Amino acid sequence: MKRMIMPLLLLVFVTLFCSVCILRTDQICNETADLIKQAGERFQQGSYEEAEDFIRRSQFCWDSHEGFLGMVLRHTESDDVGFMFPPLLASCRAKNRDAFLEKELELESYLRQLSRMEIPYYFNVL
Amino acid sequence: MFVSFVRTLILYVIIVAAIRLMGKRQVGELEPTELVAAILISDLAAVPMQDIGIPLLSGVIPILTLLALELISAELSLRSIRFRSLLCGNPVFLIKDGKIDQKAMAATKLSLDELSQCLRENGISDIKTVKFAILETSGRLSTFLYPEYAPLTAAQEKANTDLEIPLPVISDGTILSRNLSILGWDRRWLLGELSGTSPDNVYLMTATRRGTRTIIPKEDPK
Repeated sequence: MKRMIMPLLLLVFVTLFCSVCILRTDQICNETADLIKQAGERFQQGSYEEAEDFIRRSQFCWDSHEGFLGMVLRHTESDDVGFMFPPLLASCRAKNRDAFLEKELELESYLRQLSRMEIPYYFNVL
Repeated sequence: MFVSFVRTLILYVIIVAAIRLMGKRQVGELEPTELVAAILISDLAAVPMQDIGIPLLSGVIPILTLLALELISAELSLRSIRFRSLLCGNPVFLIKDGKIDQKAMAATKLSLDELSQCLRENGISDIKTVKFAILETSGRLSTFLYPEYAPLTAAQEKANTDLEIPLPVISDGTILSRNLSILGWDRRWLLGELSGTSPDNVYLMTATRRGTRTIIPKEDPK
């Protein structure tokens, strides 16, 4: 029985580690997406400065977890999100409604998709 | 470039440790599960090693998982004969008393050409000289010649005995009924040979058709 303990503990550790990674990734992606969504709402209300502030907070939220995200996501995926913030911010400053809403929707849906991709649903596993 | 170098170092250490923990058999004769683990591990390690866009953990986590599964299956194989035969199969007699077992040949999907090749690799040119040929779970063929064709040893010269393969009849306390019936013995004979000792206390007992037996009792774990 003693020889079974090590591999079983290893399996438990791997499972727990993966679960924590999934939950944390889901939390970060949704937190960032929620801030982007709030930026969109403020923009629609005409509060451009508040919208800009929410975008900055969202970007900070993403960037501050860059190390962890680089560990669990493909590097292209985490980089793609990082590259989407500057044009969104620029369109907010320019008060370009169409461009802003398009970029905001794109970034939010991409973040929601990233969080779903890490969850081991059967269609993700398959 | 440096990232690839560091990744290679890390993965190398992990794979060497994993192979080492699997035991020395991993390097030589491979059982099916070991072969699968070895192939998968090398493949899993190569992907994050070559593509720096893929997180290192996506290679490490599957390797650790494979390692844990391999250790668990090895331990279960050691404890349970059924599990071992499920994972690794059983040795199969392809030639018994000089006759090719065609059913066994079909079951093992071994062609006559392949059997001939295996025999030639064992230095045997004529099937008629083979008394027993056993396909082991590792895929190797063990052959036993009729005494008149086998190289003479000093012991055989004195005893002039017919070839007898001792088969295990008790393995780690479990009575192997299949081997008992192959030898033509039954449980009553076995218990008689043990002379009051419980089969649970026997680590290994081998027997031949003639009744020659060897008993290795279990050692006290303390």
